[in-house]
Amino acid sequence: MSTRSEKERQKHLQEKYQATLANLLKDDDNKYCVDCDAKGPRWASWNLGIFLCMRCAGKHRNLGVHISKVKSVDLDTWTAEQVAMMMEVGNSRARAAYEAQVPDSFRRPQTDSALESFIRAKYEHKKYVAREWVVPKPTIPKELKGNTLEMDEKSERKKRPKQQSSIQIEAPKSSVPRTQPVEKKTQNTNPPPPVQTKQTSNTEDLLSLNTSPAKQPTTQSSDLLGDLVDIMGPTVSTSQNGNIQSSQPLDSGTQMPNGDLEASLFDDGAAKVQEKSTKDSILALYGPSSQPPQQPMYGVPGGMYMPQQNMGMYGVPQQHGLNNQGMQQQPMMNNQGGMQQQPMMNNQSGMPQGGMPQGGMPQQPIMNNQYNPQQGQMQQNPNMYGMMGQQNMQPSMGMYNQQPQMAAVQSMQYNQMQQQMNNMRLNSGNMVGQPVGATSNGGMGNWGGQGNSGHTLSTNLWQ
Amino acid sequence: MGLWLSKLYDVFSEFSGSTPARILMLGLDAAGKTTILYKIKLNESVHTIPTIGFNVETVSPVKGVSFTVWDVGGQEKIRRLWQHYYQNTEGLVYIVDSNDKERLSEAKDELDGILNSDEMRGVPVVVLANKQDLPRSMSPSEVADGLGLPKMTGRKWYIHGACATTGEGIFESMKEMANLVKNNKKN
Repeated sequence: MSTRSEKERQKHLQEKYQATLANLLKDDDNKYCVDCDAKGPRWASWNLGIFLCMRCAGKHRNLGVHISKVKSVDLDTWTAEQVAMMMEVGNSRARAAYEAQVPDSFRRPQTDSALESFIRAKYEHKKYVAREWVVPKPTIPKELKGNTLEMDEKSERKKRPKQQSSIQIEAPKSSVPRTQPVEKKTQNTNPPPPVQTKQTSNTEDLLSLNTSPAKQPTTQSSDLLGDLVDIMGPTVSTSQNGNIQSSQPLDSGTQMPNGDLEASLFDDGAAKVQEKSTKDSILALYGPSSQPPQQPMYGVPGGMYMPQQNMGMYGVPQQHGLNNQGMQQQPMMNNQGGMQQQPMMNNQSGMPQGGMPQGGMPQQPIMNNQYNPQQGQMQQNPNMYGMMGQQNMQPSMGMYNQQPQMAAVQSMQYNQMQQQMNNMRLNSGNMVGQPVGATSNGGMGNWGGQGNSGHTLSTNLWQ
Repeated sequence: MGLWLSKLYDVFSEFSGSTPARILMLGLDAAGKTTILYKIKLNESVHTIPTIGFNVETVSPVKGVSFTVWDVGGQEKIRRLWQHYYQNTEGLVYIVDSNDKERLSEAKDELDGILNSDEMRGVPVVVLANKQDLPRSMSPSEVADGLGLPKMTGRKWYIHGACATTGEGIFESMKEMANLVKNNKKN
């Protein structure tokens, strides 16, 4: 799809982003998880602009992407927009914003469920949020842009229009609602909009914020460019961020008079935003107030939705009609009488729970048998799958035998899993850089969990 | 007596002799794979953290069905490890976050990548349109269209709405998976 040079450029950009993020993480602001104070966060919620530990990342993922979009610093690729958001907000500013009304006596919860409640209260219900807080809309600093249009290839950036030539805004780092493209348009048409006034308040002097991915040799502000060219050099970006993160919460607080557009945006999110014809990303920020436009059938509160029969969809619809019930009797399936299930489950679930990184697992192996019989219609396609039929009898055998060369120095307890695990480690080590070490607490835990899970598998497969 | 013994032997060999079907569970990060895996396994909504690497469990979501389910982490840079799990996979469970419209096309690309692999030829796919409980989530048919399922040839597929935390839709889908796997084996 993409040419070699494009790939090179992408790679180069990614390295840039990674370096920027690494610098951000060196910042004192970001050395601890914003929610639980765990040391050395390696995850982030890029739309909130915060760095998280792995555990809190898990909690944030439970919120849904309309509230928090979680990414790994190490294991995901980033876009300029996302990195800019991290530069813009950061943990200190986010705390000032989202924990403004936390009582003095408040102690950060550390247990799983309390932490989840806290995170939900904080970001979903916005219980402690500063009243004047407006989700900033960062402009992408020059140094994060490639010289050409590489970034618009990312799907995350689809919401950004690709036009926007030659608009220059001052104060790229100001806090502005996230609807950058639209806002810029307004600037195009009406020269001094309220947004503009607000932007000047906390100016950080990176000019030329045209976020446009479109190629645009920014002629102005070349000196800035000069400054920022080596933003990856350690000091520049961090110091900028330091300034901003410390100063901006105050700014955004005091700034409300001329920032009333945003104030109203915040208070009255969906309506205003829609006026501005922004896209769903901003609506998502105001999730509670915006109505689900589509999907009428799942609108019932409480997560109920249509009966299963309507939800299921089959491929090859023209071949509907064969009713498949009684598949339990087929010899090819692994038949277990009902009474065998409990022993088996007991056998397996004790181990993985101990090692599960999540920790919150119940210890009793409850087997779920509450299956709702569904009218099963199977399409028959007899002639297509000849090859799969015979090779399945020892699937995992095949897998292990296949990767003998992967066996390495790791000492896992279980032989069969060992090779697989080593394979994983080697691979991820190669490409991820430092996934295990970096996420030391979470990452290692997870590996341990997998090892134990592996035991589950091997006991079962080799019994 | 001999008949009775042989029956007993049959019953015994049924659960000790046959191998659980190997099911691979993939999807973008934060789609809900691990939550679903442990919902099936324990019927509990567990606290998960992002999976680096994989989880594997032998589960019996439906009476008489046994799966070895491999749940592999979906973070972008570890997706290239998925291919190492393809071999001998009898069924693919592909989890999609129905709430994440922005990344549906990314989900499609990844799914296409999986299904284009030689080792996954003909393997039936069950798509779970997860997170149906969230506001503004896409319906299963929207997800199906977004993934291009209706145009897919050469394999059987099935899509179902689901909510991993409540378990809605999961066990029905697993039953369907069992049917698809069984039929695929026969053919």
